[in-house]
Amino acid sequence: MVWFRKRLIVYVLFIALAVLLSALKVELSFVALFQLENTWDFIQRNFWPLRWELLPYLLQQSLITLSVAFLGTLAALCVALPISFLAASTTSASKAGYYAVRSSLSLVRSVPEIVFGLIFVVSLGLGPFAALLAVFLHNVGVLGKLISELIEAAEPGPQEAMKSVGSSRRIGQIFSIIPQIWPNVLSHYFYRFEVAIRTSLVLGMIGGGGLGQSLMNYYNSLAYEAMATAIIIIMILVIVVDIMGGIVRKRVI
Amino acid sequence: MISLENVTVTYEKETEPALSDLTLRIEEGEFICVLGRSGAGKSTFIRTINGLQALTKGAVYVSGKEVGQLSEKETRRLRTGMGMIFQHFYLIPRLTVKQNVLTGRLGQKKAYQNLLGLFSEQEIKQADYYLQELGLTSFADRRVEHLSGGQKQRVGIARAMMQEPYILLGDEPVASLDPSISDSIFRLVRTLHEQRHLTTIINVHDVDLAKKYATRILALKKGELIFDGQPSELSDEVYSLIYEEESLNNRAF
Ligand SMILES: Nc1ncnc2c1ncn2[C@@H]1O[C@H](COP(=O)(O)OP(=O)(O)O)[C@@H](O)[C@H]1O
Ligand SMILES: [Mg+2]
Repeated sequence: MVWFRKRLIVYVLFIALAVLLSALKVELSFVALFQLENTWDFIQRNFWPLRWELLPYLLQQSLITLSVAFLGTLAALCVALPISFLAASTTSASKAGYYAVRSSLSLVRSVPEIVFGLIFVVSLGLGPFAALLAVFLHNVGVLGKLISELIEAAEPGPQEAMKSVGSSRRIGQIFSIIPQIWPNVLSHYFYRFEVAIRTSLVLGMIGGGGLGQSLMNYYNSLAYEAMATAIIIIMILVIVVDIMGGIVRKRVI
Repeated sequence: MISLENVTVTYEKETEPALSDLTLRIEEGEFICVLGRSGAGKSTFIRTINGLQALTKGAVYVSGKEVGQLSEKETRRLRTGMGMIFQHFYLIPRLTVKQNVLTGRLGQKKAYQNLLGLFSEQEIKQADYYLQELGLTSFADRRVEHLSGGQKQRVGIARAMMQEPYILLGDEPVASLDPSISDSIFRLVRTLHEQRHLTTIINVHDVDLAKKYATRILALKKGELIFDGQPSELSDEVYSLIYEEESLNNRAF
């Protein structure tokens, strides 16, 4: 076979070993798989009937969740966009600056939102603002990296043309690069927004407000029908945002 | 008005210079075509004139100023006086024809005016004028990526003319266009050259175009100037010297 390489065997063995070790670590148990039935039973027995009278309240809560995700990621985009020019090898101010900015971005990116969330909930108090800050910080790291990679991949020709009309370095870069990367920037933004909605639910569970917090409260007080209602709202929310993101992306590109 | 004195350019990690001890003067109002095989140093030559390419040795003077000695601000000022057109046009994708033409002004405005897209009525009028002049009026609001090659190059010329330059540089501006389109592009350039007394320096592959339009022809071979004279002086011998294959012996070392 053309694509067959001896080295392939080594890779396959290596991956097999990794799978085995990971399986041991997570205590993969095939017996538990057969008990998935129990999960289904639990859902059937406890989730119905849904508590539709909670709908207005849950919708209000979902607005909080949406706002946390939206403001957190939008603010992150506004901050990350200029920073990413400093973090791209083709446009950075200096070699040292490039490494400094790039590693700072890695640093904020390496801290999961929930860790930021736990810190802010303790230091700033419970509520959506702590969640918002957590989403914001992590996404500055993520968007900064993604956008700086777009900048590095942008066509150099237009940048050369802007240099030759005598524009300043920065203005030339902004004019020649942003139009090129804009659709991909928006695409990344919407993806991060979607992710942030799920994140802000999780952050709600540790006291960050919104739907996640309601869900956790119902769970803790064994109000499973109410919890199920919240889950349905969450699913609808995520799907609607996904569809909207698709529409916007199509319009821009 | 442009003079090169012992100009040598050796690229990093290269042993052979791309331009080798070039000395010549170019007077105001000349229409110069530069001939040479691919790799002869034509692009390097053109780029030394507006300071896009730094020199290894020697000096380039434009209007009495040494290009390599200028501050960043002065270099930008110098470039605003030189329009440049490129083989691959280097237009900014996703911007319209008119927006691309307006970017020709970026070097002559304040950063905030550029960022806010503040173009004076005078500049808009000027853009409309050049669009008209180059037969682009009906495409003004179309995005540049949908244009044909010839149309793209006309946008490139309009962008250069927006600078109100006194020098026009062209780096193989017709190398990716059909012969009849190439001729019409050269006709447009000659009209502008005559109307505005533009000093014009253009790299071409096509000897016939050079003979038809140039007032003076230069030929480069392996970074050396091997011909400098009137189009009528370009004999068949010179022609074959410019384009002859390197001998096998030379190539081996
Ligand atoms: N950025 C660069 N780095 C290294 N070598 C280069 C670079 N640009 C051009 N060269 C080399 O310099 C020589 C002249 O190139 P160039 O000026 O582009 O010639 P032309 O435009 O006539 O094709 C060629 O041998 C080319 O390979
Ligand atoms: Mg070239």
